[in-house]
Amino acid sequence: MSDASPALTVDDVWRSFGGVKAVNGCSFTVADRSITGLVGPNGAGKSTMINLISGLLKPEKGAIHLGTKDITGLPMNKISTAGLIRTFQVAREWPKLTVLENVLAAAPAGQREGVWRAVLARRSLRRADIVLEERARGLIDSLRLAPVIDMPASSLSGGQKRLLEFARISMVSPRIVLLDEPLAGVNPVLGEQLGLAIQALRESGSTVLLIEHNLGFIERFCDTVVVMAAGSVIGRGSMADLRHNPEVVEAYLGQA
Amino acid sequence: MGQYLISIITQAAVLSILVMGVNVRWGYAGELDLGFYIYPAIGAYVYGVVVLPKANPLQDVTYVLGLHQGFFVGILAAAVAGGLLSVVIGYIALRRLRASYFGIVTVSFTIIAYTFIAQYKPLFNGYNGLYGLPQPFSGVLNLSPSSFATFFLVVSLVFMVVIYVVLEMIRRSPFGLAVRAVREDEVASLAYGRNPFALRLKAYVIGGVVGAIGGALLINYVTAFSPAAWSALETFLLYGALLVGGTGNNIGAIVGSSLVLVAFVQVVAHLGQIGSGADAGPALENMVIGLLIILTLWFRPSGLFPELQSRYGQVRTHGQWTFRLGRAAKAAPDASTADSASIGAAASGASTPAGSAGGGA
Repeated sequence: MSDASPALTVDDVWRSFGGVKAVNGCSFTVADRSITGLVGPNGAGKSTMINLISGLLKPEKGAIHLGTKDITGLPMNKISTAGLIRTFQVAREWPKLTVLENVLAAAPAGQREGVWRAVLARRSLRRADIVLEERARGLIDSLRLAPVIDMPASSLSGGQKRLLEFARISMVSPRIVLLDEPLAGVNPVLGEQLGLAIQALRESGSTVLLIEHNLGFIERFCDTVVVMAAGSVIGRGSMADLRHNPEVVEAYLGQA
Repeated sequence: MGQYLISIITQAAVLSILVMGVNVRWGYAGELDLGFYIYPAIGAYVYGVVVLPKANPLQDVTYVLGLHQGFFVGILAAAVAGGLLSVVIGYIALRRLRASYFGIVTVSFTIIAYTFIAQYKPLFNGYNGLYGLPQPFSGVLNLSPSSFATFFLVVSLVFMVVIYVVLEMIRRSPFGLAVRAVREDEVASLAYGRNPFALRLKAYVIGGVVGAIGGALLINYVTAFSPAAWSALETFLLYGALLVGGTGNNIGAIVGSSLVLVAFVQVVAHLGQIGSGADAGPALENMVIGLLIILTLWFRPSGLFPELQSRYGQVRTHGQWTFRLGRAAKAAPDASTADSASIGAAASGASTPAGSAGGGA
């Protein structure tokens, strides 16, 4: 668990949209089992970076490694099964599925989702299902979503949808979690709870990389902060260090 | 049982199978397949050319194969043909297209196939279609026409029940849940490691196989099959039945097709001669079905039998996948006892319950 083997390595990644260079020559690492913040002004390329890492977009140049595995340009589902789970700025629950179904559907597919198995191996599937459901119910209880466990996810409030996201992530126990603005539209009290849930993810063995504009939150919960501006990394370190970095202050903190 | 009842119940059973096929695609997977009727048609044609003897060109009848095989070989051939056609069309249409774009491509395929089959006589005898099918098991059973009708009713009901049970197993399985998740949000499924294309294609193939088996039974029921039997409108009638019965629910598919495609049609037929001309009856049927769809969407948008949770059966709500009935309802907001996961410690450490905090949003 030394810094020598980072959970995520982004090496000279480029991506443009038409003539706009959204990410140009971005390089950084995310230390194993850290909570790393990714900050920067609007249009800095943070979300594009998350989309490139998670496989929603393909980089034009550069390499991305998850641990030692090269995940550059892999499709999103392959990157996910390699151990990287991401969230979106807008919570993406499966609306008509219930809370419990949402959590169960997030569990790693493994061999369970074969069609023939559905008909011919029901006994073993049911055994696996009971274990998974026990786990899902535990997670739902712990996030205080038990009262809505059989409600369709579309009926949840914005904050509850965020909590549901954490239940789904915990179901997977991923190597690394990318959170795109987890506090968007969340009240401060729930924000605190989400911060603790993020810490709990780390304690259970995951590494966390999160985009957030709330610098107080970043300062409290992140070990390291990576600052992006105009598509490149312009600084990295603890929040206290970055406050003394003139380039970072000029590009971002000065306006914050 | 009167011959009339036997006939219409057989019809209901066969049409239920078709609507269950639509339900796998549209109800489970959200695939708006507007050309569905090509699968029953291919099932009917393939069954026909497998059980019929060699075509007799002297009578101006031409079709391929003519293998003179038995009932089960015919059904199997129809299912395989439906599956293969689903793989081909699904592979092309599901790769990148969604919703209405997908629907347009599927209906285009069906129109092309329809035109080709109707015009190209050597394949399935063109517009005249296939007729004179041998009675299934005729050499073995030697039934009179009326006892054969009863026998075929039983065969159709057995097929309906078996297909229902298999599709329910699939619906309640992890595969069924994954397919429904893809229907709800494909990108979220990708983010959790699923391959939406593969899941959609599998659902598409299952629907096609079920449709083709239904088609093979249909050609037995009507004893002939020609392009007149599968105009573009037929697909919409199947959707109408599913909408009324309950999209995503197999009982809904069975009840919907029995009501919309059989019972109401019979009622309309018994209203007597309204208006003049031979077209008045069918036109009135379609108007009644259209009205039913509108009323359903207005008053009960999820149909008579709404879609159930993955784990729920039709009768016992917590069916085969969990036995802890009612636990969710009884042990609702008791979060303090939950410490099974590390995240729980963090969550219960927060001062305000998430329920109240999130409830304000």
